[in-house]
Amino acid sequence: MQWAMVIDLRRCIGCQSCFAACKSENGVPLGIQFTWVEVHERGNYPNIQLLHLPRLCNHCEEPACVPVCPVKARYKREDGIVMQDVNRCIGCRYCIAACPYQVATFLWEEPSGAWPEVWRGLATAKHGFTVKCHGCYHRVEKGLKPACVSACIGGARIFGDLEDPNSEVRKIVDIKPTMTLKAHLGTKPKVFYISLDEETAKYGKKEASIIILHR
Amino acid sequence: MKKGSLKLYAWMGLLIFLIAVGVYAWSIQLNRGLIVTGMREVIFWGIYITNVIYFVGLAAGGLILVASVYIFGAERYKPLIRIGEVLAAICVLLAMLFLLPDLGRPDRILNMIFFAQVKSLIFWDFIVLSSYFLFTVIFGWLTMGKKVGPRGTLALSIIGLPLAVSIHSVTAWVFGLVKARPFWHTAILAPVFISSAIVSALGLLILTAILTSKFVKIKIPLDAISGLGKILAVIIPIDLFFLFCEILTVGYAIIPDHIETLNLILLGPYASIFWAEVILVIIAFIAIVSPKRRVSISMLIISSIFVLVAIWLKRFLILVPSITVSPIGEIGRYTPTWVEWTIVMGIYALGMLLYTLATKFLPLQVEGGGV
Repeated sequence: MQWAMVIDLRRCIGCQSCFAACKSENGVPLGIQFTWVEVHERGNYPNIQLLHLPRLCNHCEEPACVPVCPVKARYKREDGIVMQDVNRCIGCRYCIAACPYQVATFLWEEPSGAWPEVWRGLATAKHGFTVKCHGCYHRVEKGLKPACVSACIGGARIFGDLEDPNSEVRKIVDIKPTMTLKAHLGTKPKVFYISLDEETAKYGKKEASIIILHR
Repeated sequence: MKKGSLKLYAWMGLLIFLIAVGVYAWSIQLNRGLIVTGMREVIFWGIYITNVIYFVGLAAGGLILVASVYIFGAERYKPLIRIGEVLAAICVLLAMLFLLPDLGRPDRILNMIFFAQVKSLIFWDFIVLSSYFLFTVIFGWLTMGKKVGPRGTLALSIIGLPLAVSIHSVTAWVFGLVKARPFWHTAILAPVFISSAIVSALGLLILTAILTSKFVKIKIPLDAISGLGKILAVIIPIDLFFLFCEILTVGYAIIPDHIETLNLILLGPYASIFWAEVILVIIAFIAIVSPKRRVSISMLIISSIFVLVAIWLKRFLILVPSITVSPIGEIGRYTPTWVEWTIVMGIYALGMLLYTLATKFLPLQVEGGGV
């Protein structure tokens, strides 16, 4: 099993259902997001357009965040998910420095608005460690799709096993032109975008764009 | 200062007070979390890590100087050797102490031993800094306790010199190997760290030597101190050259990621800090470039204070602007809070207290001829 996701940007309408579903499924507290949809304003007036860019941890094949963690709190699982051990983390934030995609969040204080099952009820401390998308491992292990994928009303998020030649993600990645974010850095992300423009892929935004992040 | 003089007690009392307030501030931070600092999502490392880098530099520079005396036999600087050894030990201790308040969960710090990740530069920084601390303590104990002769100190210095270079190279590589941050990811970062380390360590040694000979019954010949000024006059241009290389390389190529950060430094919110750093170091250079001025105590004091401030600002500018533009283009803001300043002052006070105690209890006066 190799966790992978395809995001078809032609289908994303920016409804933020994925964002809400992830919050609800994982009890993610206020001000923190494991997945979100960026809204990039592109072009110059009067030729302007909005790009809705769903983002989450890319669960990279060569994650930049894994070798830098001094206590091995960040690791890549057999099934491809890049996981965070919230109880081993010493809160040095080196993973946040090393991640080119800014997907992890450090808990500067005890978070509010958290549901009882936050971090699946496993965290022993209340603040001072780093958290991030865990690929909905608890659903994937049971054969379900991650919450953000199930919630997407446009079918923009497609999930599957990259090692399975019959999976939709395998077929799309093989046949369709897809792009990953900041491919030049060699992290080999496992989130593939359809219809992503080159500049956003390389730099995270176009020169003239304004980004609304819903943080 | 005579034994038990009022001034001494007042000084130590002040330092202990600052340490106590620092500990109090840290307790607030431990309770409420790092939210009480000015660090946030985008700028997640601030003046704690700035001071880690700064003190690693001071410690490394100090022992590079001391080891060079023992290896190259520069008799002129012998009177300063003991002070240099003590400063090196204190500075590396402070560098490690500054890491503690930056951690979100210092209670889990032993995980660094139990679950060590040998691919992580922070692990290696921990290894070299701890080794260096042990080394400087042993080095100081053996030399000041007169347990080694000239050949022994030579052997120790031959170990100490590469160790000193390594602590600052490894610290540089903590940042320099991170490909996600273009302004860090440059080969010149380690050389920059080392040249800045030598500049700042010279400043610290000059200032400490002058203050020590003024306030404590230790005689240090002016010739030794002005000799340090001469080395400073050589190293400052090298440090400035590296800075110029960095700016030219980024400025000429105009890669979008990199140029945004450069603009923040040269023209944006960090411009006043950048130009202050450059101007201070140029004035410091002018103050001691001529042999006549080098023997003036006031010129040496100005020069040393200016380089100490300038290199601190330089460490800040290496750290913070590089993470001000997040990997996805957000612009961060950072203003240290009173908690951060108080903890920083507390650790500075601890360093000064340790040095004051060293002047009382350690044989810092080098007898003529011997080491």
